[in-house]
Amino acid sequence: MIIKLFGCLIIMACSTSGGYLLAIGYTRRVRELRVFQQALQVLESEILFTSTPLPQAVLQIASRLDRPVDRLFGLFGHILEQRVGHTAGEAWNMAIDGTRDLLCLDREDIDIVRSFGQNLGSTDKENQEKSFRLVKYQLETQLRKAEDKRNKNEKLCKNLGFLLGAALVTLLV
Amino acid sequence: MEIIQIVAISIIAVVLAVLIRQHRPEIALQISVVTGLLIFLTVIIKLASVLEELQGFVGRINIDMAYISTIFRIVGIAYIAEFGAQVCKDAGENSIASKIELAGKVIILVLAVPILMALMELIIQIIP
Amino acid sequence: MDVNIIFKIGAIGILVAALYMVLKSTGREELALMAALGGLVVVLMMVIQMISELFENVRTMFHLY
Repeated sequence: MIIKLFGCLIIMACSTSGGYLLAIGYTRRVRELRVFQQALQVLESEILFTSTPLPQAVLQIASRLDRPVDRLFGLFGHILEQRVGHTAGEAWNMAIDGTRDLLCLDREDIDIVRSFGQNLGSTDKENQEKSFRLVKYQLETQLRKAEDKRNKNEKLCKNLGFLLGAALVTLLV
Repeated sequence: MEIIQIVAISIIAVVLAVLIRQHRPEIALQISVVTGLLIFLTVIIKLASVLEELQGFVGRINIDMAYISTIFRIVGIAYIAEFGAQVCKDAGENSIASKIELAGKVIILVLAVPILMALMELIIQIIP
Repeated sequence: MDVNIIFKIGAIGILVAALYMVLKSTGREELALMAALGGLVVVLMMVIQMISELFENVRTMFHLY
């Protein structure tokens, strides 16, 4: 009897937390996109207006951001600092691959970020400005879409997790 | 006392059914069906013992067993037809319910026809 | 007399109602309808067993074969 009760509680806890985790993914994605936007803003002003060298600018940004986006920039700056001969684009890709699992970003977001990195540090100032503007615009669209998705799905996932757990418990008891 | 149990279960089921009826009327219907089934399955054992008593008693009187079994069958058909008709009425399908009742009546009539014929024969024989 | 089945059906009914409302409010109406139908099928499975038991009993008891 008490084992049954225990089993029910475990099933409910698992499915509720499963739904919760799915829901949190959406919230995190929105937050990370915003942090990314901020970081790009700072990077833009550092590169275009104060002409700070790239590794230094990136590491500065990394120290000011929250997790987990700071890991991306931190790794990027680290690889650049090592001066092993990667181009900025390669280093950027390596940083993305290294921190991909920590981020909650979508495939589309990662593609946008990757394509931004290809242009980083490889063209002149005016083109850098254009590439910054492009990526900011793209991220803005993604942010809005992510917010929509979050509004639709967050409550849904949480409730769904709970209800499915209850359904399982009812059928199995 | 079993009747108390039965009534208690019925009241709980009624409350549940009323609660669910506004959202999912089909499931409320199932609840009422299942409650009826449960109660019937509970009392059927007692009913079976009563019927057996009756059978034994009738066996001692010299009546042809066929008649008695016909009577039992008719009661059974009546019960099932009534159950089905009530479920349909509960669900609001009065037309289907009346068709079930019609079918029950026809089948009972068909079963009873041989006995009626036997009765007619008897009467015709008596009246010259 | 296994009364738990009544509570099971009641709980499934309430769950399906809640699931239906949640899914409808977030716009996934087809999923809501499917969940409602699924719940109905599950309950039907449970009830049909009992109904066949009833008919079996009535048949043997009243010699209806």
